Amino acid sequence: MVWIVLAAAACVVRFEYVRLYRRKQFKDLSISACLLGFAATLFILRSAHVPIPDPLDWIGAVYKPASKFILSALS
Amino acid sequence: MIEKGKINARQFSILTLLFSLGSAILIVPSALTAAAMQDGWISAIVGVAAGIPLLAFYNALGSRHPDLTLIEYTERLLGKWVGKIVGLLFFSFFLLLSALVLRNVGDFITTIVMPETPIESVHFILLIAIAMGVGLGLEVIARSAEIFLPWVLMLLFFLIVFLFPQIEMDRIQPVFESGVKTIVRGSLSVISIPYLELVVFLMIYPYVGKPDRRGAAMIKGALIGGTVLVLITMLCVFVLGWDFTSRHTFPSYTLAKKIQVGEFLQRIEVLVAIIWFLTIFFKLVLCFYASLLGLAQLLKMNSYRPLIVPCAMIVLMVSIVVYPNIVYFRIFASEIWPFYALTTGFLLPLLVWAASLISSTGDTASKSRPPA
Repeated sequence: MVWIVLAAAACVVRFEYVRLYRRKQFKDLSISACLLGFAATLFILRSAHVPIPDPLDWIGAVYKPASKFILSALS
Repeated sequence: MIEKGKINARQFSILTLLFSLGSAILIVPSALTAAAMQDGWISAIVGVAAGIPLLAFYNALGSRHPDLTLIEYTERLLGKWVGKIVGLLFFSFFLLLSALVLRNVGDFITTIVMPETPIESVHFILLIAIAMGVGLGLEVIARSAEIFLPWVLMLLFFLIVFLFPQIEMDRIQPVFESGVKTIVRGSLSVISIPYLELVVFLMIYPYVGKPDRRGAAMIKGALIGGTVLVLITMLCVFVLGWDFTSRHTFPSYTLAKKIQVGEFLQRIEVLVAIIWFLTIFFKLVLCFYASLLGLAQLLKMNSYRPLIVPCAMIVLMVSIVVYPNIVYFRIFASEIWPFYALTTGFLLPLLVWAASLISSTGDTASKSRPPA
């Protein structure tokens, strides 16, 4: 899985970024490259069996008190 | 303006219809009957009835700024920093929603259709189609929705008509046993799963031609979608019974297995799978499109296209890690998701709307400098 994703990322660098560089759209290029680097890092970490945090746990931690309060009022 | 395409009001209402059916049609009957038992269908009606004023509110907000998307006018009205933070909250909601919807597809395929396929490959193949659709732009998405709509409607018609012989009326008795509170609690799932997520449409609102017909088109699409949801929930209760429905994660698929016309027409449950793939594809494309467009507008980029592959990779990763198992998903969808969706789908837009009323600039002055 990680190899397919990294190959897709390499294709983006080879084709899309070269085009952006020629058009001198450096802002788009840098934002996209940061995100691409972040995503690739996530995949490499996962392939090394590093646990990736689950964003739903954070949302659950934020909304748990309100949810408990309202749902207990409705049952 | 980043998106140059225009869609018409008819295409807008078709997109709303497909969006409100996608994922809800398979998940919602189970959540409804788990909360309200045999009165789940009443909960669905309550949910749809509560959804329509919500859409009227979205229309009121969207028509105050007919040329801007939600994230653009959030930034103009709330000032640079607060606006960016609220905009990021909207963006993360859209991106997370696309990951969750993608995970729904993956769960469906790996539990029911292809149990031995790894879930990552299902996600990967669907994401390729999504990335292509988003890359082609809003007009192409809307036109393909027009092409696929007759198929969805035809298959839904078959599903509903062929199930009539299986209906057993005594399964809904006793009606109204569970009481008002439980019915309201059940309706939270209908309000949150299609209706509060329709805040995504405020991102494509300015690209619909004829500003005065936008609201009616959106409400029409969502009302038809809501009616279909009510019908499917009723059929689930009538044909399967509420306990069987609530125990299944994908009850409408099981429902279609019950179709048996004579001796020759049976095992056509894959029809439901086709409805579900078509509708969920459009839901996913729109969520992903809205999140990319929102991020590009937040960061003042020239185009959202350089973001497609990086964000698709992030969605793929989030969709894999997001639920450790299906029980986590059911608890999250019934206990946490309604409140998260309420925050980003109602409270934050309400804040933006209040700011828009206070600045009382309306649509003409909002094009000039931000008030804060």
